[in-house]
Amino acid sequence: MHFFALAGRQAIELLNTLGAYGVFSGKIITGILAGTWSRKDLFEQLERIGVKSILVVSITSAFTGMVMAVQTLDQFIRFGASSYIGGVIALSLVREMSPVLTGLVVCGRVGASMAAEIGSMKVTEQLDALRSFGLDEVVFVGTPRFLASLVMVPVLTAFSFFIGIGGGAVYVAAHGVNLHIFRRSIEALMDPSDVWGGLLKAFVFGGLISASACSQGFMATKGAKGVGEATTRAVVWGNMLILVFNYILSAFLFGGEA
Amino acid sequence: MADIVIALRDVSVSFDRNRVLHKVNLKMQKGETTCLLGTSGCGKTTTLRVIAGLQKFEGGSVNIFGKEISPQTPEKFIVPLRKRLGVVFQNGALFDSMTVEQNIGFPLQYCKGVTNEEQVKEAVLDILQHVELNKDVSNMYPGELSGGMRKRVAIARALVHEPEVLLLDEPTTGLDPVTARHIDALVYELTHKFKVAALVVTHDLVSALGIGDSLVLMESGKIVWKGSKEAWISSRDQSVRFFASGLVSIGEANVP
Repeated sequence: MHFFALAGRQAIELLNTLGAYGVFSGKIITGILAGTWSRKDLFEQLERIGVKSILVVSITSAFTGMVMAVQTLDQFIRFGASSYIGGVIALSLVREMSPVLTGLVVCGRVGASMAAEIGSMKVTEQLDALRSFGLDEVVFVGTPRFLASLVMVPVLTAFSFFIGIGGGAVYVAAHGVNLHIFRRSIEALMDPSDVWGGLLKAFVFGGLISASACSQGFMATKGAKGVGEATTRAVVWGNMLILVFNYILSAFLFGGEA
Repeated sequence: MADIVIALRDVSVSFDRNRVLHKVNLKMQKGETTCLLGTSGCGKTTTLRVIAGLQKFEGGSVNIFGKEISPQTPEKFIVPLRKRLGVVFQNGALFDSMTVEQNIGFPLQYCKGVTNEEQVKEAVLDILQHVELNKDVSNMYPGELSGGMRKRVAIARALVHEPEVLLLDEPTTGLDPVTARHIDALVYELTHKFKVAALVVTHDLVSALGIGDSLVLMESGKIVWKGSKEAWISSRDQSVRFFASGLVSIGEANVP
């Protein structure tokens, strides 16, 4: 009986959370044109999400590209297929690794700080102050963050792809594979639809990260402890949603050809 | 009747089935300062939040500047009315990421539509003088200010767009007695200078008797007494005496 009660509570929490994210996203989408929000804040958020994430995305992507090269190069040489390694690494990066890793990194770095920032604004009545000036606090605070995520996660994903390819190229070149062949195999195996598919995923992940972070921040209660819990929930939910939606989008964009 | 700017009629509010306001009736007159007194948790701040349009209520009605607001009134109808109010929150609620100048200039931009930077700067420096702060403060962030300075900036931000009603939530809480009396004097001076109707939520009787034209006492979500300062002093009402005696007994206990 205890198990069912717990499962029921978790199911209700899941529906509540997804409902809150949906309401938040809907409010932002209608508020982008009709609502009041600060364009200056948008540029600050673009810098915060994009420029300030470059180092961590670079390190993550470069080493991921190198690890992929480490794991695949020996096998490809054994089967005499080393001329395909560039294309295989590029496909893995552009379709899966770059959008997912960038999403997870941005969720951990920026999503957490967004939730903490909005949560502390809530518990210190700064959001009430915005309302007292006739503003919709969700639109005013959420819109720049939501738009900046939608723009910068795909940009960082594209950046991550090139850095990851660079990392893989460095490793394979050091192990005797000609870089010209590496590049040719990328051109042969990759299709523009792979790039668009990867960028579409990143766009969706950007929306999920900001929806999770901002919604949890707006729902924060009970002082510092509540802000801490909201921050944790923002990252956990953001990461889970990225992985779930990654499967859904992969199946929709790249699956079903068999 | 024409001087009534805000009137609460039988306003009730509950949180999770717990009734925190029970049929509250309150009127605020133009140019008059009303002090809302009561012990912690009696519903003072909730009453202020209802007037500010920040708290939904479930029964009764609120009349703000002649416009009737019921629990069913849509948010978009309330928004223009909020811009005619100035609110000083308990801990200031200054925007941490903005300088003092940006904080004070904020309502000018969003309540009055002033976008000219020179005009905003001029208005900010002017109001800083009114709250007795040096212009050097304008480039500081809220985190760099003392408690008293934060209150002054919060008062400046609430007054800069020339609201018709000023709502102050515990303006002297957390301040030493000397600074608290300075803030009282400032509130008294500014409310008279700007001719605004003011509601001051406080449990500080010294403060209320210093700045209030009328006093209202709340207990367990209900208004139990209201009247002038003079009527309070001479009142034999049990609730009034009980509230006042709390202060007296502490004062007497501290006398060696």
